[in-house]
Amino acid sequence: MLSKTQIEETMLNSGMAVDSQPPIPTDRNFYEMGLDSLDVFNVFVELESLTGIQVPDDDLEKLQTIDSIHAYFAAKGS
Amino acid sequence: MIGIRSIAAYLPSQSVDNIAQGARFGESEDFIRKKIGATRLTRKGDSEETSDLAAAAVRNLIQNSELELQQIDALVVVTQNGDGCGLPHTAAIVHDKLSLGSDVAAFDVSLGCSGFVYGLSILKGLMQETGLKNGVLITADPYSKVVDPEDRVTSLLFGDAASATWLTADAVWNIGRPVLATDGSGAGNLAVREGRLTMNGRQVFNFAAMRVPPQIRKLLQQEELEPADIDLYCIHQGSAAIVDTVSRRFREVQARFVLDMDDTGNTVSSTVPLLLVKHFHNPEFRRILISGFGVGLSWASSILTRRI
Repeated sequence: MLSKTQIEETMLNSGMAVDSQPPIPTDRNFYEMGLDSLDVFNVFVELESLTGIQVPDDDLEKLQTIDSIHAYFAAKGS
Repeated sequence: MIGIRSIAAYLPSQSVDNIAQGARFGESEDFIRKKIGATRLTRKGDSEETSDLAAAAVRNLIQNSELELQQIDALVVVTQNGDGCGLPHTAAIVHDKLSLGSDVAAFDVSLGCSGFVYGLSILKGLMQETGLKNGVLITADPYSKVVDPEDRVTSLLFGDAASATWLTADAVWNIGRPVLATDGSGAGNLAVREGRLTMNGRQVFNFAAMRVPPQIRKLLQQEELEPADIDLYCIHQGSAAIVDTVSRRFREVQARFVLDMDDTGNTVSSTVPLLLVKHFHNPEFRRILISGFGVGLSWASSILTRRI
């Protein structure tokens, strides 16, 4: 099962500049932390690769915090 | 063996200030510089046609090499935005504009960002089969013809340019056996609809991130090489973010991936030859890996090896 720590590590390893020191607040909106759409694409490329679960474009808009991503993949069985 | 003898480019003199354009869409200068990777996007003039860009690149090639116009016996234009509606083929129009003789094979290749790698292989194969001596591969795909200036997704990315590459037996660089691939199920992610370019940015990004690194590894395996055996990685300059994402999959040689699109933007099939123009004569580089990926979805990679 994908953990919140794995999601945070994925974000930090993808090279994006987060205006917050680890640990990243799990309820904080990515875009408020200075991420842009390409950063988010990058995170989801890694998460999809890690879980084997494809996230449709329509769902991506709702997933803007570590908490929401964690809940999403948990509901999909990962 | 047919290889590359010389290469030249043509950049239109006009350009768009991409930082100002980004601001119009609410994008920061930092985003334009670090994620898009281009502060200026080259633009052809209103009266310039695709064939004009192509002919200008060939004239630059003639000026910068020993090739003479009358020696050209094969002329291939990689474009999906040819003159008019693509009929007649742009290669024929370029042939006329350069006043070439009739003993010339001339045709277009309909491919986008993978077109240069494909084109090298197509022209090399044709020349070896037919005995043609001096082939010129042109890339000229001005997306300004189809980009909607009000579309944030595409208008910040693409620039206009052309290149011309001379293939002959007495060459400087060998052209290696390419790895070629297609996923037509993704064709709709980058397509012209009702005369306007549309792009699903996320899907195109995912495609590049997921498909290109494995192809590069497959090519290296095919050639029995390690990533460190390649001196320079000249991959398609789709955006700074895409080059960064692909290069991160090769941590041990990440610094050898070139990012150089600041003055032009994504010039489609011309991005790779534009990089080669700058590094062609550097004797430090013995092996250059080239990779193009985009429209189709199509992706292609090959290795150029210095002969002399």
